[in-house]
Amino acid sequence: MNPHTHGAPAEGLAPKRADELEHLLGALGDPANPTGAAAILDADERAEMLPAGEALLHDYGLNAEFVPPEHGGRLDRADHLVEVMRGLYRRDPALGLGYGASSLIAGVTLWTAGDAVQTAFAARTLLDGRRIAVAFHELAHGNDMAGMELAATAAADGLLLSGRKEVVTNLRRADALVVLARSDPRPGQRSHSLVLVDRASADPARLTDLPRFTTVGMRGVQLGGIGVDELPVPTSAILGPVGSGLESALKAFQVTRTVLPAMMSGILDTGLRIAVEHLTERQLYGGLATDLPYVRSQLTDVFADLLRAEAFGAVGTRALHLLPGQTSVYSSAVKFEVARLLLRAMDRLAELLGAHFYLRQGPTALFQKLFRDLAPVGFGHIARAACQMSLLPQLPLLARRSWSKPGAEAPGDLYALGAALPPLPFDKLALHAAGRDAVAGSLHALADAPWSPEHADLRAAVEADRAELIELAAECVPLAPVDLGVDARPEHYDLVTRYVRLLARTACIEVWRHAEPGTFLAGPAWLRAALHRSAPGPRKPGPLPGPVEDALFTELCHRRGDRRSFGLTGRALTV
Amino acid sequence: MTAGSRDVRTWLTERVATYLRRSPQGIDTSVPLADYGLDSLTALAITADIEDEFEVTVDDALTWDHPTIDALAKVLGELLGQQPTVDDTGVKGV
Repeated sequence: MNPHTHGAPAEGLAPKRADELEHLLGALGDPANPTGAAAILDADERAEMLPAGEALLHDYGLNAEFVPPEHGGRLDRADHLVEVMRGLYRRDPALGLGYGASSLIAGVTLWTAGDAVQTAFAARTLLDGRRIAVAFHELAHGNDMAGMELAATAAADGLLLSGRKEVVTNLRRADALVVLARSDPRPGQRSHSLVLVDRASADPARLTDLPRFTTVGMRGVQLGGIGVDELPVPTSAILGPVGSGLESALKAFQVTRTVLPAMMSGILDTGLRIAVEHLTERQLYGGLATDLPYVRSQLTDVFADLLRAEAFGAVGTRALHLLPGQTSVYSSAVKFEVARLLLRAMDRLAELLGAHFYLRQGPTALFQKLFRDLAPVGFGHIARAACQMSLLPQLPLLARRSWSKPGAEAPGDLYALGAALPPLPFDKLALHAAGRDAVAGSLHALADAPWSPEHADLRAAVEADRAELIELAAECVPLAPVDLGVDARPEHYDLVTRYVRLLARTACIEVWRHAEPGTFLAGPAWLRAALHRSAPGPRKPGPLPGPVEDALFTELCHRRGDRRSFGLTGRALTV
Repeated sequence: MTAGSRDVRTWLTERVATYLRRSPQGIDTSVPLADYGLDSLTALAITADIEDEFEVTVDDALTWDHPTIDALAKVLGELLGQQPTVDDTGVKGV
C-alpha cells in the first residue's frame, strides 16, 4: 500500500512525493485530463466529488499522509503534509477537504488521545483508503464545543449514545466516526468524551443518516448528519479517560487549525494564476491589462499577501513540531490571520477579474468555484472569531511572561524552512501556552542583532515592532481575565488583531533571516512587501514602493512563465 | 485541612477575587469558578499564576480537574507538601 519508504529525517521545503502527486494530477488546462479543470467544474456543477480524483488519490494512498510513521504512514512533517495537500487545493478544494482533510481531522484526535488498539484500528482504516469522519458539530451549538448535547450515558458494558450530529463531512461514507459526546450532564470542561464508533460493528437500526446538507462552496463535499438512538458502544471505544474529550480536541485540533488554512493557500495560488493569465492576455484601453499600473500593483499585492500568509503558516506549522507547548496560541493566530489574508486576496482578484470572476464557463471558470470553495477557511473547523476569542484571555500572561523583555528563544530550525523536523509530539500539545511565546518574544533579540546597512529600513521596522510589542504588553498586563471572556468588549478584541499582526510580521522577518542564501526568500523584496502590507495604522497601506513592486512583479512573471507556484516554495507545477 | 492548604486557599481566593473584581469575602470557595463567570480558557490562566507564585510546575488542565477554590487548594496543598509555602504575610521562598 505504501510505496514510499522512510529513512533519515526528511529535509527540504517540499517532499519528492509532492511532485509525484502534482504529476499524477496533471495539467488543469488540459480538457482531456480527468482531473483537469473541465472535469472538476463538471463535478462541481453536479455537486459531486470528482470520481477520477478520488480514484487517483486512493491509488496514490493519500490517507498515508495523515498517519504518523510509527503507525505506518507518511506524516513525518506537518509542513510537508501542507505542501502535498496544496497540490489538491490548487485544483479542487472539494477533494482537499472531502477526500483528505476530514480524515486528517479525525486522525489527529486518535494520535493525540487514542490507545494502541484504537490507533492501530484508525491507521489500518486510513491506510486501507477508507474514511473516518469527525462527528462533533451540532447546528445548535456551532463552535461552542462545551455545549454539545449528543449524550453518552453509562450502560452495562460501556455507553449508550443518543442524539444528533449535523453538517459533518463524509458522515455517511465513513467507516468510522469520532464522536464528541456529553458523558456528564453537568456543565463543565470534564463533561465530554470522544468515542470511536466503528460503523461495521454498530447496530444499523440505532443509526439514522440525515439528508445531505447542500452548500454554496465545496459543493461536492458530502456533508451529512446522523441521528443516534441508544447506540451501545463498548468502554474500549472511549478515547482517553471519560471526560477528557474537550481537552483532547483542543490539543489535537491545534494541528489541524494550523495546517488547514496553510494548505488552503493553494486556492489563492491558482486564483492568482488565473488572474495573471487572464490579464496578461487581455487588451484594455489600447494595451495589455497588466501594463496598467493599478492592475500590476494589485497583482503584486496579492502575491505579497500569499507569500506572507505562507510564511506565517509555515512557522506555525513547524512550531507544532518544535514548540508544541505554545501552539494553542500559534494555531489560533494562524487560523485567524492566514484565513483573513487568503479571503481578502481572493476578493481583490475577483475585483480585478470583474465579470470573469462571475462566469461559470470559459477559461476563468475555475475561479468562481475556487472563490466559493475558499470561504470555509474563515469558519470551517473553527471560526476566525472563535480563534480571536480563545487568544484573548491568553494575552495578559503572554504580555507578562514573554513580551516585555528578552526571554527564551525559539530553536533556529523553527524558521529554517528546509531543515528536518523531529516527529510531531502529539503528547506535548498543551491546553494553553502559559504565557510562553518564543516567536513574538524574539523581537527583542532581532532588534539587537547585527544588521547590514542596506537593511536599515528593515531594522527600523523591527525596532518599531519591538516598541509596539512593549506598548501592547503594557496595555495587556493589567487586564483582568474576567474582562476577556466570551463577553469581552470589542476594543479588547482589537488587542488580538494587533498581537497577531506583530506575530505574523516577526515570523516573516525570521523566515527571511533564516532563508538559504541566494534564494528568492533570502532576498529582501518579499519581506519589504510583507512588512509594508502589514504596516500598523488606521489606514490601509498604500501601493508598494516602486523598486519592491518591480522586483516582485518580475518574480511573479518569471514564475508564471516557468510554471512555478507563487507561494514560498516556488515549486515546478504541472498546472 | 492543614494550615498550609488554608493559606493556599486564602491566596487563591484573593487572586480569584482580583480576576473577578470582587471582594474576597464575597466568594464562596466551594462554588465552581465558572459559576462566577470565569470561562474555561480564562480559568487556565490561574495555573500560570500558581506557577509564578509557588515556583512549581502544574498540569495545564489543573483548573479543569479541580474547578473550585477548595479543590484547587487541596491539590495544591498536597503538591506543595511539607515545604514551607505561604503564611499570613505572603510567600516564603520554596
